[in-house]
Amino acid sequence: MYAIGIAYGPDIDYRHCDGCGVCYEHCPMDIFAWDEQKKLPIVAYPGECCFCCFCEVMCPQMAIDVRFPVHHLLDFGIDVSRLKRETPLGEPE
Amino acid sequence: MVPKLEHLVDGIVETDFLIIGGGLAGSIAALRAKKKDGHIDVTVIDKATMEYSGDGVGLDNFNQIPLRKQDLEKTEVTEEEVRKSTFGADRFKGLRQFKLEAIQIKNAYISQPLLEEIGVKVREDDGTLKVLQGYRRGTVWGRVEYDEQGRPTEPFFGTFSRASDLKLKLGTAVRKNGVKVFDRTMLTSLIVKDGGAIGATALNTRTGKFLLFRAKAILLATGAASRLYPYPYAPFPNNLFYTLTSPVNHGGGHVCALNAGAKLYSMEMNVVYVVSKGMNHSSGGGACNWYFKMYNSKGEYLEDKYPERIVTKAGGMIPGVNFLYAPNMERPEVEKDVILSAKHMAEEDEVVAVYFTAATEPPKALKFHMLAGGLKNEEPAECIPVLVGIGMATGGVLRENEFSETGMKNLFAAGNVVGRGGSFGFTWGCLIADHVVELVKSLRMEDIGVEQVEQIEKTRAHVFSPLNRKVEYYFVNPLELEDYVRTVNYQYVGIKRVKPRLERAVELIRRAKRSCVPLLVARNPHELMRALEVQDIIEISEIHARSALMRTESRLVPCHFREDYPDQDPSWDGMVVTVRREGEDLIYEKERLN
Repeated sequence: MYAIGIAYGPDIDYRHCDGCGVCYEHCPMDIFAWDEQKKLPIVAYPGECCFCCFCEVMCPQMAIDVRFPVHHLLDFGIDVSRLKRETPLGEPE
Repeated sequence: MVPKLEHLVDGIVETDFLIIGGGLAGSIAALRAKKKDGHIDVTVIDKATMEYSGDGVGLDNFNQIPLRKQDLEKTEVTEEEVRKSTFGADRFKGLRQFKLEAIQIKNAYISQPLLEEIGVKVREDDGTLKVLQGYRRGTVWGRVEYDEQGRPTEPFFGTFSRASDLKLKLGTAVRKNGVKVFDRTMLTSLIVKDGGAIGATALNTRTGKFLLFRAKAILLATGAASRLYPYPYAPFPNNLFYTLTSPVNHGGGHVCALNAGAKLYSMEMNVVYVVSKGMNHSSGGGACNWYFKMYNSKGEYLEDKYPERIVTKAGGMIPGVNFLYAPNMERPEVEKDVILSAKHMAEEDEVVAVYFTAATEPPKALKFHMLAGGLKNEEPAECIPVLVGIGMATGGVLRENEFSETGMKNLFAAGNVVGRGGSFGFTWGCLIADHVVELVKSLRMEDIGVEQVEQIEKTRAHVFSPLNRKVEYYFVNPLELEDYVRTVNYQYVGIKRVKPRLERAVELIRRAKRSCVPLLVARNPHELMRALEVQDIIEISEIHARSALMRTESRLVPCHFREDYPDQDPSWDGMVVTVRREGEDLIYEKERLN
């Protein structure tokens, strides 16, 4: 038996996160919580993410990847299996 | 015995000008007031944060100002243009306050110098204004014009666009100019004395602190009620936050204003956009930044089939997408092509597809654009109607005079909470700030009397009840209740409305309120915010359904379409449904809009 949580919303790569707290400070939906012991942000309410992607854009360490929900990707004909984490957020082609 | 005020609140803030909501209207009002008079004490409270809040966040636009090539460098609008203006005159007949509209049009450019001053880049390198052009390519906002034969002409219009980091710059400027900013602070009530607003209570959604703000004048700029319908193609809880405009805005300002004594109007008018399925714009602005080419289920491109435009002779500042679902009055042949079912699910004959070809600035849009393969992606997406909520076009808190003051003394309102968002919010924010700066000089801070303390005590008890609740057996998750109520709205109110279903909606909403609100539970201030929001959403939902029941005609379809009264009724010309509170009761009236 296993339980799968909500798979969309910000995904923090803790290898790169330095705990600056910009995401925690600015998320409009206030979905981040703060781990006082580790001094790191936690995605506490991913279900309430509205995919504005500000956290991803603002993160100085580029440690956040906002994942879109499956229905969103499929409805636009995006092949989910081809997406890679490295997809950079920069200038469009 | 009346408790002491100090025991009821965790802090008292005194200010000259309290602004509730730090979106476009709120930010510009704060900034303008400070620039006009450096001595005035201005405070902004915002449920999110100053830098990233409201509908305009990250959209990078300054839209809705009609521009033609020759108008690009204009700084004011002439009388002639006001007279000629097609600002939705036909479609919105009787639904808008035209005195206020005229003031708004005249002052359309009022905020532009201030925005430029704080570094919002509205100009290209050569100094010309940045304009996002484009009727032909898609669904950008604009005005349709007609030649002498009544045929639509090719207008040049556009939106100021690509004004990078608009909201970030506004928020930063507000802080820099000495405005007191309270982030993560949610309005919970307005304090009333002798028919005027003298302050507000608010909850910090991080610390749980309950604050009292005392003010000489208040601007309500809390945005639209955009969490009234679910996004039906997303699973729970994504369906609640996958809204077309900012899901931060749930309509709390509407409810607080109503409870304090202001009137709401046109609350039955729900904005409907036809957008590409799977699209959300948490950052507002709807379809402005997505370009579509629409075709019907037979594969015919609507643009080619109706070369003279696929819009009605409506004019006005409505997104092109909205026209597509709203042409029933004058273009039945288009409606047939674009018709969507009452269930809002595309069926074989009703599928309208779009080409997703490009997107622009919002971070989300840009990222998604890239994931979708950019301009190379020619995968058609279905087109669906999205029920956006109340406030983007018309409806909300009723303004009673030319200063955008509500029925309550010293309570002003601007932005989507009065149904005039975007750069109209900019305009009204500036106008109200100019007025308030002069006004507060002659006002004194009102004392908090026994009556007000009792009101604060009652609000405090109400606010914290989900947090302090002792669970005996069943308890209710705020999001689950919100999902239920919004689904009821979708199933029983929606686009095609009919009396028995509307009555059922009222019944179901009341039942949910009666049996579930007393069981709402929150574990922390964040969840408490959601618990308070759902109570406001329930309140607005009931008003929405009851107003729709009262308006026995169809107008501004699809904003209000009664299947049992499918035509416009001349007896409703210039009339609106208003609602006000009298004690525990809500009084609904059919009134002439001034």
